Amino acid sequence: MGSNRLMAIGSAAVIGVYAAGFFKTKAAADRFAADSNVRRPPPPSEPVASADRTVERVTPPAADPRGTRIGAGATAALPPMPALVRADDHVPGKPVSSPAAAEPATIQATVANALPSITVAAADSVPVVAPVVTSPEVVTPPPTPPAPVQVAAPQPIATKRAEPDPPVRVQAAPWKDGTYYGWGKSRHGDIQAVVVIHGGRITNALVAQCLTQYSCSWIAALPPQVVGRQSAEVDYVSGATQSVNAFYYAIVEALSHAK
Amino acid sequence: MIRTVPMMGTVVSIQIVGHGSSDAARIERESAIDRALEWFSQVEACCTRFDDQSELRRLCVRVGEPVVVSDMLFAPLHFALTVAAESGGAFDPTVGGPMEARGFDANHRTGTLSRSAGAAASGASFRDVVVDPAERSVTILRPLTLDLGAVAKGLAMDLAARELQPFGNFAIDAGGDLYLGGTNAAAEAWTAGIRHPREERAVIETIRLSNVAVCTSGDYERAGVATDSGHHILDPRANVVSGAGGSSVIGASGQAVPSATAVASATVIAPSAMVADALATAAFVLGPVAGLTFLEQNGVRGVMFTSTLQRLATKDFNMKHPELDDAAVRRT
Repeated sequence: MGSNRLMAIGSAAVIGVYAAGFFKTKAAADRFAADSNVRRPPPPSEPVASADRTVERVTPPAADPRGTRIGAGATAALPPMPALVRADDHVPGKPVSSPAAAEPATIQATVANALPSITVAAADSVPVVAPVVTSPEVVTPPPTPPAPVQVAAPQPIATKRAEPDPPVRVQAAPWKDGTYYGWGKSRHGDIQAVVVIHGGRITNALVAQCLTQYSCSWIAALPPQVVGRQSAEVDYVSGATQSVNAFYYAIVEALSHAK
Repeated sequence: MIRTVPMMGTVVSIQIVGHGSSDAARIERESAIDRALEWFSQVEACCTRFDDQSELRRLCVRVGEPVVVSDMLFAPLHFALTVAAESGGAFDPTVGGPMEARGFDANHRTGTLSRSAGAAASGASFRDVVVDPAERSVTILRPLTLDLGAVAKGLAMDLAARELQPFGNFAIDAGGDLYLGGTNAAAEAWTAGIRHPREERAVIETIRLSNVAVCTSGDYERAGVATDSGHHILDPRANVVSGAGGSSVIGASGQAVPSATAVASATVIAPSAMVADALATAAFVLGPVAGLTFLEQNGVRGVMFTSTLQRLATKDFNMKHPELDDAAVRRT
C-alpha cells in the first residue's frame, strides 16, 4: 500500500470538512459578533467590512514582540490546506449562493479591492466565489456594515480606528455565573472539582478535594491547565487520558449545576 | 491563554501562546478559541454514537439503502473505512456493537446509557459499510453500530488546529491526544511526554515536536469503566480485548519481541491528529511486530511499549526531527 495514502486521505478529509463547513462554527462566531455589537458601535464609514478580515489576517499585531506569528511559517509542517477558505464560508446564509445572482464584474472588483493579498489563494481554494460576494448594499458603503460580515471578523482587532479598547467581554454562554462543585470518580478514588463561571465562561477549574489513594499534589497541578504542564519537564503529556477522567466527570457534574 | 472545557468525553484544553497583550489581541484569541471549540461541538454532535439523534446514529438505523450524509460524517467515516481496509480490520469503525455488548455504552458526558439497534448484531465488519465518494452516500449492508470515536476526536482536533493556525503557536490537548503548533512560550519546540503505560503519573519518554499531532492508545485508557477485564480497545477481528497480536519473533526494526507480548501503549506522530489517532489504535491492536510494520508502511513515526515495557520504535523515530528545524527557523 502506498505509504502516504492514509495521510493523503486524512488531509483531504480535514480540508473537505473545513472548506464545506466553516459556517458550522458560526454559532460561536455569532455569539462573539453579537457581543462585539453590544460592546461598540460599528465603524461608521468602513467601506467594505470584509476588508477588515484581510487586515486582520495579514497584519501582525504591532505589539507582538515576535511579530510574525500570524501567517508566515505557521503551516510549514501541515499538509497543504486552503488557507483562506473560511473568509468565504464565513458569510452566513450564503454558503452556496450563485455568482449569477450578482454582477460578476462588480464581484471581482469588490473581491480584488477588499482582499488584496488573499484573492488568489481564495480563488484557488474555493470553488464558489459567491459566498464572499457581498450584497449590493455592502458594495455601497453602508452606514452600518451588515451583521453577517461582522460575524466573520473579530471586528475590534480588524478595525483600524484608534478607539480605546473596550474591556474584554465574553460571549453569552449556557452557564450562569457562580461557583459550582462536582464529584468525579476514578479507580483510585474520588475528586471534587470546583468550577468558577464568570461572564458565562469557565474562568477557573480547580480540585477542591482529592480522595485518591495518591497524594493530591500531583493532580492539584493539573487545573487550570488540566493536562498541560503535568510535570516540570514537559509541556503536555500524550496518553494521559486516565489522569484527567475523574477531573472531567467532576467538571461535568459541576457544570450541570450551572445551567 | 489557556481554556479548558469538557468535550467529547474528555477534557479539551486549548492554549494560544503569546500573540500580544492588548485587549484586542485577547479578544481575538478568545474568539479563535470559541471557534476552535465549536468544531469539537459540531463533530461530536454529528459523529457521536452516544446520542440516538446524532447523524451517525440516524445513519445506522437505515440498513440496505444508500444514505447521503454530510461532509462532517462522510469524511471521517471514509477515512476510518480506509484505515480498516489497510489494517486488515485491526481498526474497524463497526466495532460499536461489540463495544456496547461489553458495556461501553455509557455516554461519557451524561452518564446515560445508550443502546442502539445494531448492538445485538455480531459478525459485522467494515466490509458491511459501502461508501460512494461521488454521491457522498453510505450504504450499511447489515445492522451494525458505527463508532467513530478516535477518528472523530482527531478530526475535531485537526479542524481546531486549522482554526488556530493564524496564531502559529498553540497547543490542543484532547484527553492526552495532542496537536502542538509552532513553539511553546519559551519559543522552543513543544516538549511532549509519553505517559508511562504502567505508572499513571510518570512519563516514559519525552519528545520535541512542532506542528504535528501526537496520539497514544494505551491499555490503561478508560479501564474499569465497563468490565474489570477489558480496556476499551477491542480487536475487531476477534472481538476480544486486543494487544496480543504479532506472531513473529523479530520486529520490523530487528528488535526481538516475544510472540505473545501485548502492547501496553502505542504512540504515533503525524501531521494530522485524525491519522495519528487511528493509526495508534490500529498499531495497538495489531500488536508489537505487525503494528510497527504498519506504522512504517504508512509513513508515520511511532513508538510502542509492550506490557513488559519493551520499547519498539519506527526506524525514523529517533532521527533528528524535521519539525524542529522549522521551529528553529522561526526563532531566527
